Amino acid sequence: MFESVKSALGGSGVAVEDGGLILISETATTSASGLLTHFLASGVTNSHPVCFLTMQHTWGHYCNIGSKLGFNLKQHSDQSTIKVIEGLKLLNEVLDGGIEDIEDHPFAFILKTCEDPLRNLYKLIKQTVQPWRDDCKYFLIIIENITSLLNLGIQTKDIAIFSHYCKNLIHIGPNNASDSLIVVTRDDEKDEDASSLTKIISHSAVMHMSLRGLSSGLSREVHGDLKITVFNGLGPHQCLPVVHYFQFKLEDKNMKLFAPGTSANVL
Amino acid sequence: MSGPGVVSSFQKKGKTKVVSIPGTRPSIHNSQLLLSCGIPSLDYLIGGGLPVGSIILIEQDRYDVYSKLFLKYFLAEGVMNNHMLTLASLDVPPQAITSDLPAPTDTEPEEVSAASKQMTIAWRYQSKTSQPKTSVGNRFGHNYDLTKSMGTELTSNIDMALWDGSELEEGRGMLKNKNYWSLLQVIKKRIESSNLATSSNKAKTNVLRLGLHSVGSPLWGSEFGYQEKDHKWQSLTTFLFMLRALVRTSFSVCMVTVPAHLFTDPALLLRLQALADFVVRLESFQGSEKETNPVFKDYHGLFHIVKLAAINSLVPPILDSTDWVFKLKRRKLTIERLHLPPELSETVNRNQEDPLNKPIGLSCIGGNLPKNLDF
Repeated sequence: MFESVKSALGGSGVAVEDGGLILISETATTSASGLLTHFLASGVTNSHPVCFLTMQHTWGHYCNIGSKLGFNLKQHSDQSTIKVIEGLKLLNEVLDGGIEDIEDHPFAFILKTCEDPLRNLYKLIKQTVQPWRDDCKYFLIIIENITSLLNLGIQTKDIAIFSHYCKNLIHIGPNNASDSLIVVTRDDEKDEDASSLTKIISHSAVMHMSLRGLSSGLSREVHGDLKITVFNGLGPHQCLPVVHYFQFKLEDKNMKLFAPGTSANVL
Repeated sequence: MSGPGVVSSFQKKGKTKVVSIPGTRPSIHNSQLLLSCGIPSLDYLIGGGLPVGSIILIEQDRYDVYSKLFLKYFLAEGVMNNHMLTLASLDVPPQAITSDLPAPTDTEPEEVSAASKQMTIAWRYQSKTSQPKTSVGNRFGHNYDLTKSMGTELTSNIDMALWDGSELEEGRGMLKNKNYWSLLQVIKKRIESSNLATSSNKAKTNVLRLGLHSVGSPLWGSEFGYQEKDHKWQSLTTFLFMLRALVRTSFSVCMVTVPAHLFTDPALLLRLQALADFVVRLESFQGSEKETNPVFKDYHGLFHIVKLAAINSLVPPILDSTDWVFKLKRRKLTIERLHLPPELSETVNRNQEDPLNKPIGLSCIGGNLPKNLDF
């Protein structure tokens, strides 16, 4: 858990435990691993169960980052406090052809065109979180890089429906408490589908954290910009979303956030 | 902070788990197993080498001259370390590439000469052996000579598979394109047959190097029609995604070159970039205005580093400069920092007008100053 990210979120008045959909968008060259690690770690330290669907990276990638920060994520996944659905492994299973009943596989759509390509994937997530839902426990669902499904030839509308279904999984309890869903998208302006998908998902989000590389190129001290937009839909009046700007720097064991223009390079 | 590629001389005491795969070394930053891509300067830029399980994407220069050299270096390094190789190409016959790999220049000739030489002055040191030899069995990176091609005696005992699209299966589902589907099957079978997948428990003694040349060129399929907005290129992105899944879960590294200047839809390139771990773009000066620009007279092209991924860590490899160029000497290809040529004459007068409209961010003088300034 990174202190500066925590305080940045606290400053914007959003606690992850409040629930709702949090959207993180990255670009092709800027990775959201840092923020995801933060949410994974905060889930682990507060002993919330996490369902983690990875598409872009392997689970080992996050385990290695976690072990540097002092979290044994592997152990948590063995104890199934973190349940991992690893997209890259599932894709390999499809390619192997060793599965007898391909119909029920989450990535069956690669080999067979079907009507609702993401239905099986949704079912798998639902199955995973069902015990927690039954116990009325607070839990997190993290979907890493939902836009990589576009690469597999899935339409924007299907992914939008999928994310909406996932959002319905984080049910509203009796006292208006909701679980959390964190979705990562890739948002490059030139990729129309990806950026329209980002807009669609951000419409139903409580917060949008947008990571972007510096427009002026690479830098040693600053790795990119972070823009946090908080949509306050529950307020008494229709308010404009609150926007906070930060710059960030990734270190081996930390993600540093600071106000734009206050990097070590400048000061 | 230590730069990438700097190897610490401190070593752990006691027996460490020795990785016995030739031509690899562990990274000092994230204990990732690294492989050389054949060009030491490129290894340096990407943090010491290519991590096992990663994909490097090279956006070709327009005439595919230099990108082919990168691929050849990559394969030659595999030959020298007895790695398994797979080369796929439709634009040129893969045999043409493998028959013309650069020859290694440092094959230990010193041994004989040193022993036979009689010392006349410092004769006391005769009995002392010269420098302790670096372990020959496990060398990381070699030097190559582009003027000679590698002998067949080196390449013949390598486990090499060439794919030229002659054996095709029908594509399925999202991978309708026959070429991509068949190539994926070939790669999968090779990984399986030699137990390179991380899921198999056998000890790994070798690494698979995958070289894919000019993927996405028109010869790979007719997806590049006029209606690109229909995303007919999803076969290509699906292919690369599946390839990523294969490479990540096995002991293999992959170098893909793509003719990026043929892609008219920018979304395609962005998606390919997102799927690869390292992305570099070669911008050769051939046929461009920059060829005659005095600023670039020592170099052959610009080397853009588009993406460096952080694998198993948060921090990507750090670069100390943003402007890189590549230079093809007679015997080798190197990547260097861009320096302006020294101005040797006493009066500053370049007889050629700077043909670049924008001098690459070096001066902040406006464009419309008088030519001769009087002081």
